[in-house]
Amino acid sequence: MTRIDRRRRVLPGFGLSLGVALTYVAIIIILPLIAMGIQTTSLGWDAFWRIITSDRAVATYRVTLSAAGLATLFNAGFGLLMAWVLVRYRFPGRRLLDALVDLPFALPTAVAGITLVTLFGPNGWYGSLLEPLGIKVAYAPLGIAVAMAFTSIPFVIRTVQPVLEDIAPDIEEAARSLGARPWQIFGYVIWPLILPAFLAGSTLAFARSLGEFGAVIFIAGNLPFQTEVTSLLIYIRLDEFDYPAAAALASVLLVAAFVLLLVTNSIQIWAMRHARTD
Amino acid sequence: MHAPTEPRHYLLIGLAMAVSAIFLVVPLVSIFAVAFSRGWEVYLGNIIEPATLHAIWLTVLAALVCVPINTVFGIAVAWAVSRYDFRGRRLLISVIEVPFSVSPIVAGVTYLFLYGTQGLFGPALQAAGIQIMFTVWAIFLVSLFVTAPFVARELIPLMQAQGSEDEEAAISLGASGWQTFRLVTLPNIRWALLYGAVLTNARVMGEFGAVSVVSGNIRGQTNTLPLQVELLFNDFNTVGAFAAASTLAFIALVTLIVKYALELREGT
Amino acid sequence: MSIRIENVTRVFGDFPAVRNLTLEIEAGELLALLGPSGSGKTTLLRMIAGLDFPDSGRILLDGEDATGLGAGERRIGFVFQHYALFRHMTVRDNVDFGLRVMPRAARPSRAERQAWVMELLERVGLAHLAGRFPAQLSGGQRQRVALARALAIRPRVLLLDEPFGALDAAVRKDLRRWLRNLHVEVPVTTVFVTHDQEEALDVANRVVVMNAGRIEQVGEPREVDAAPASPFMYRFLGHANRLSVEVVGDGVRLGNRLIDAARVDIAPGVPEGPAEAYVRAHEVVLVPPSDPRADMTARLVHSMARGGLLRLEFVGADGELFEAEIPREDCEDLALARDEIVGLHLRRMHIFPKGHG
Repeated sequence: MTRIDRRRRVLPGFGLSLGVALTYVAIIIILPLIAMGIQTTSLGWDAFWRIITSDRAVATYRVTLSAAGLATLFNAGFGLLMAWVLVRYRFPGRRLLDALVDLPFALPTAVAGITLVTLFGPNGWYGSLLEPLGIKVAYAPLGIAVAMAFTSIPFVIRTVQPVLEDIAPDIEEAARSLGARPWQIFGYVIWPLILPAFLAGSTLAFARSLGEFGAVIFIAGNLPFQTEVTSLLIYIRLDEFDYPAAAALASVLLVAAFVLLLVTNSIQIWAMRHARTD
Repeated sequence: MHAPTEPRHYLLIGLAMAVSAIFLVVPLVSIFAVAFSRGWEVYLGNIIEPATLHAIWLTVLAALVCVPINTVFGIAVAWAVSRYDFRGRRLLISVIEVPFSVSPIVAGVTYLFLYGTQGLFGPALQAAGIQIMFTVWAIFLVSLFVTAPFVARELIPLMQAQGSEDEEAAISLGASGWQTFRLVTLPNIRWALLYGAVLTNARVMGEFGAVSVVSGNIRGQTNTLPLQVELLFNDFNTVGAFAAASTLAFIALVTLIVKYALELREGT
Repeated sequence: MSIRIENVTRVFGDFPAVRNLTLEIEAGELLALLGPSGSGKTTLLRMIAGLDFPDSGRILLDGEDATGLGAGERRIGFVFQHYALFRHMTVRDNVDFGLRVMPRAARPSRAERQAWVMELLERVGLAHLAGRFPAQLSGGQRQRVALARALAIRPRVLLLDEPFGALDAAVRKDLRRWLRNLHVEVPVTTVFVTHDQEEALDVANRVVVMNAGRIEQVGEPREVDAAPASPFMYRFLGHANRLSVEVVGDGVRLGNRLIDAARVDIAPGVPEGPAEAYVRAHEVVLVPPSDPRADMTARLVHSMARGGLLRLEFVGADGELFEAEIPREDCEDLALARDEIVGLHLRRMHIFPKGHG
């Protein structure tokens, strides 16, 4: 290794670019994470455990996980549908629809939050239709799921879409020529190919939903034990200057994010194994 | 890709369009509908309200600071990981992705524990009389964190796919490193770079969770536009909130249009 | 300019791409580096260019140590396999690039540059396409733009990496002739890499055959083709048959038949006993199976006519495949049918130690 490092590099700028990159990553990304790690570990295990297993905290996990789960289910279905429709069919407005998919990424979460709560509120365009039916969205657990679903719409679509585009038409034709019916072609030929991307996209959507704050707080109602998400509880603890509690709860979200990142990466490595054969 | 022929094709397209309309089109339209619900004059009045105007200025300032810095960083890191092989290269690529998967609230908390009074650097900063938390500096820093991956994410796959032959050709023809970058690399990556910068810009201007932790919410001083939207909304000034929000929605639309235009260019 | 490569080694991870290689290239040569993929030929070319650097050993240009010089300091024209044309520049700007980036003091005036660029484009026959972008050109045209661009800096050496690799057969042939002519007009030292022996033998003045990071054989095309020096060379040049034989004195035994020294050349250091014989397809003569000249018999399984030659495939007694290439008129009198048993007379056998290479 040392020999290669001493070797001249053909393209100039190795030291400069890597130096800039590492310094920046260290200062902007790693240092703050270390600071939080220190803050959390200084709590001691007992205090840490007491905070993260307090009734109120556990209630936020339940609310967050169930809403994120619901949002991800919605996005798994809708994402698959959108990816399929955008890749397979030519119809008026297709490009526009394709461009619109990225709206939740481009639109600030606070804007999404006030828009959704206004739409789903009792006097809103949607709320005024739903509430007479007994469906309460704003200031209810369902609202949290709606906000999470909105902000993570693009993930499944944008991971499945390119894989679907890459499937050569001839393998479907081959399946058809062998007598497969449309649902068999989808089940035996296409589904296995898009499954890794679909799972990776769903995991990303779930991870994003777990941490979502801006869109959720406007629509949630924020009642402890009922409609309070974990990220909001962190914010409340900060507001109360209860920094140790904020640190402990933030580390729970951080660990969850890293675990999900690991899951996504593993799925992608698994998918690469598939990809290498073509 | 083909035109729909069977009833089930139309059913799928119709379903996709209906759900998109409910969850994407109507919300977008409603922002402007509410913002303009009391007419142009009220709208303009809301925008030029001093606190909102100041929030717009602060938001633009954050973008002016963060977009160039993260663009330079994105180029540097993409150049390093796509042009050289070195130990820890994969790790570096993963670490850059971290801000993308961290909750905005957690991002804000990490910065609080670094620069806040009880944070790692808190005592030292306090002794030196430097205040970072709850000032614009904290907003800049946390925005840099949140948007660090955007340019790099656009550039790395592109530069890896392009390979280094063009740069090697330039070098073998006697070009200096800077000439190679300016005359060969930059033109090759300019569209991805532009898109990365536009995405960074949208996120810097729209970041809410992380900024609300570190800004301290001092009205008229450290309120960015998304925080101002929250403030107005919580004050039951719905139309004012949506007027402020409409400027951010406009930025989002511009972002989508840029992406759309760049994809048309590529002919995909 | 002359090039001297001295004990150069280059290792990628644990893969030795070039192993302790020494080679002298004289000024004005048109040299081919020939070898299968992974033989280290491109790595060697890139090290000459300064696009890669040896782990040990030296590279001398005109007698001066250039090992540590970067590509930009060597004044070498390099033509990349996929051309590496700058896609956002016109043909004219591509060719002008090397002049444009010169330090101000050394840079020719705009008018001089323009004249020189047009002269080069004239020479490669693309003056009429000067305003086009690379994407608007055919493969052969791009190749010639890449060449003009490399020549623009008046390089001391021209290096080409698989110059015909990405082109279709007809264009390749044209470009080969054209490159030969160009070397006559612009007699700059030229080294090109190829995996195609026909290309190397056709274009180069001298051929260096590489295998597994080492030089297998060096010589003029005619020599290399006429006298392959190793089993690798026979396999690489192709259309060679391998037989198990036994060395007996200065002859060999093939099956029950003794073949005397007149038809056998034994490589130095082959001991008595089991050995390997290589027989090239054109060194096989067809005879009736009962003919006393028949060294072995075999069954015809396939024949293909190609120009004046007939290419025949046989299966021998042990089931091994055997290839022969004979002038068409020689078989007019032999009525050949599939599955017919024929006698094979081997005009020449080249003997190497068993299990070598």
